[in-house]
Amino acid sequence: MQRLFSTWVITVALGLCVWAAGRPAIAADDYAFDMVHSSISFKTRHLDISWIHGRFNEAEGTFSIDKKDPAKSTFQLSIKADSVDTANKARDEHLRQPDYFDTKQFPTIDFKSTSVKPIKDGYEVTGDFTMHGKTKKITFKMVGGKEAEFMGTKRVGFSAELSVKRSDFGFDKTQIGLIGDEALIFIDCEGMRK
Amino acid sequence: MPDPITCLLAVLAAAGTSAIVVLVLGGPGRPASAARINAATIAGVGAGLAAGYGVLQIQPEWPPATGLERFLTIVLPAVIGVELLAVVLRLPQALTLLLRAGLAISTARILLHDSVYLRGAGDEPTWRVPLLLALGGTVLAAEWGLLLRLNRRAPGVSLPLALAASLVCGGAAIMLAGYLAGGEATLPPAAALAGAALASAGIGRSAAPGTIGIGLLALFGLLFLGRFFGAVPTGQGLTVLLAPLACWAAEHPAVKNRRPWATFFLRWGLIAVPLIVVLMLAKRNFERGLGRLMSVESATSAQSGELANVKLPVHGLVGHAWPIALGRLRQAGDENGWPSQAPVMRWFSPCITVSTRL
Repeated sequence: MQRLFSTWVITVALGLCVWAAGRPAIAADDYAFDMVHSSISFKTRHLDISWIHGRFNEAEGTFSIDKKDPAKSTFQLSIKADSVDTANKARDEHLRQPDYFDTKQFPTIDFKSTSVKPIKDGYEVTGDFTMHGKTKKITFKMVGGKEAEFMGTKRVGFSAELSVKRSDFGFDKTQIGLIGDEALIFIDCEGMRK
Repeated sequence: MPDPITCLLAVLAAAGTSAIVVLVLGGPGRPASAARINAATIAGVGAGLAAGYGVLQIQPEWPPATGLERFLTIVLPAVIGVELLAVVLRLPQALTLLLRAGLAISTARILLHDSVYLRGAGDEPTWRVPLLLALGGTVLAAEWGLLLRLNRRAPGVSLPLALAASLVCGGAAIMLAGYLAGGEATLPPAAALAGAALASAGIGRSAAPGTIGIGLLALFGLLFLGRFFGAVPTGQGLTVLLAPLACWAAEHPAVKNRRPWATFFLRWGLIAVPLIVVLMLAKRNFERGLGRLMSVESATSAQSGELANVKLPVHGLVGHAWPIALGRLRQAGDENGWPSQAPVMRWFSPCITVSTRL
């Protein structure tokens, strides 16, 4: 009986060791975008004399911050292209059509980081930006990283500005001209720790 | 933004190329068998399409990622290939019908490939997609069969010209619904079809059945894209698609056996009614939607989308757009010594102004 008990204890102990060795060390904090306190907006030139502003109302994203090894941090964002909002219903409907975002064919605009570098005010993030079915590597700065606790949940905020050319992403070339080729995208995100 | 000069040149290139190919391959001095004329018109329409899309600088990529690219790289070459093979290899009629039916059934699926409709990520309930594909294929196959039967029964140029008119009307409806590139893409098939039909009539032959299939597939494909990727209402799309079937009414015993020109005008009159109704509805929807982007009243208002219906008269549309079109014409005229008046530009005026307001 005693021998059986010893064997059982050793087996459980070994199992625990194997499980602990196989499990990665918890060093990174995982966050999900809180879209109530985040925004993704853009602006682009009209007739090269003024700016049109707009935003995407629906998106989801996650990021993981590894303070010990920032290079292991990751950022991921998926914007629902159908949620484009320029404060003009008719224009929004036109922007959803194949001349622009073609949202029935390309429903999301995605970003997935491939490398992260710590910089003075945050991180320099490089990754794959996919829009209109084309993927390009882009690099931008995620500024911020301030943390706060609200209702028992840890939160962290970042801001980023990036510039993309519509012509790089397969947009109809005949639709570029009156509306500027370059679009500036502003991402302000607040992440809630999972 | 569709450039009126480029559109006009594309129409001329498509129509001219298809007519020249038909005249060269099936013209005088050659034994003008039905098979030869059929092959010549199919090759003519194919060459016309290439010329027209080349002028419009519509260069689809491979692999195709968008619906329009799949239409240009898969659907159009497939229908031209099937029709050409059927004539050149003298395929048995049953096999030709089988190939046409296969194409009719698979076209909708090809156009919707990898879209939200097939990924199940759209607003459409999942049961509607298979039903939509089945209905689309059935309607296309049925109309194809009926038009071919009509062409055998009462051959003439009126049927391909009816398809060309439906393509132009469908293009205008697609543009007015906000899909400018899709509307623009209807011009080369319409012009190529008209060019080939008129050229074959010029050498004393009626339109070949091969061109009926190409014209119908082009009409179906572009209207389908306009409905499912753009904002063309289902009713308008179906009306334009089925409008060529109105030519069947000229086969009624009461009006049959009249002179060819009488049949021609009767057929045209019959298809003109639904097409004009669709154009009026498309214009009305345009005024209620995208037309607001052009209205000064709307532009100066703080309200955005829920504004009361802004009535935009035709002269308002044309008045706003005409100077742009005329400016382009004059610029082209100055550069190339062309005449700088072209009434056809009036068609494109509303579409030009949509983008200027964006």
